[in-house]
Amino acid sequence: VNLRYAAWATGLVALIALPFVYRDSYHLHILVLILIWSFAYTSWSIMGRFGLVSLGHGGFMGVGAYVTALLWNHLGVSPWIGIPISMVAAGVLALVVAYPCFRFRITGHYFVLVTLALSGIVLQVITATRDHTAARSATRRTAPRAASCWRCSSTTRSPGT
Amino acid sequence: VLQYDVHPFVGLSFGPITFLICVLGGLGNFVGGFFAAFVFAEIISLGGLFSDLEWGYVLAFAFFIVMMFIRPAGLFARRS
Repeated sequence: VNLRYAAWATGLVALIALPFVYRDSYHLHILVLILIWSFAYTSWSIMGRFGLVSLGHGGFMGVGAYVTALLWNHLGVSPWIGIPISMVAAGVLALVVAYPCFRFRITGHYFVLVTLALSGIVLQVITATRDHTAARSATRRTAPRAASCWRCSSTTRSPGT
Repeated sequence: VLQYDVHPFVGLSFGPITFLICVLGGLGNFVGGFFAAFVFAEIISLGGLFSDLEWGYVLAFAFFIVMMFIRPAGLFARRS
């Protein structure tokens, strides 16, 4: 058992030390993506173990990422403080939705759809406040606002017009 | 999701919302689904009229979540 702990500790230390000794940004980028996907997977797997399928994990990831990034961008709060704050923020959001789900016995498909709608809300709020969040939506940014409702077709304009 | 350009992935943008509408109208309830689609579209469009289109979607999704809490069996569900 001790050997196993030693192996885990060695791996952890190697992982932490890696960006300090190995500086190829592309390879580090791949590694960061691997870690991001693996924690997304882990959280999903834990939910599955509880017997609830959630499609809202993207929303919680978005809250976590954006709270950290916006605290840094607008208030200059270091991510070391911002990351715990964003964890609390995502937890509060989860609590706000999960408590009624618990009270009203929302399970199965209904729970899936509630979380799906929640991630949609997070996505659209981030997109709607794009002036502050700098969400990427180049075509919408140049589109005239009044036309957004009535034109069912694209509001994209070709560069010539 | 916000604009309906025609492209190979256009169907994906309707998928989740269609799913929400089916459940909002009540699973298996044809008229309810029709009505729910109407309500959903109106919320999105009117939200887009008074503010940005994204806020219309936010309103519609929030409406859906609240309806799941108070009428999980659909808009026209009979009380059992």
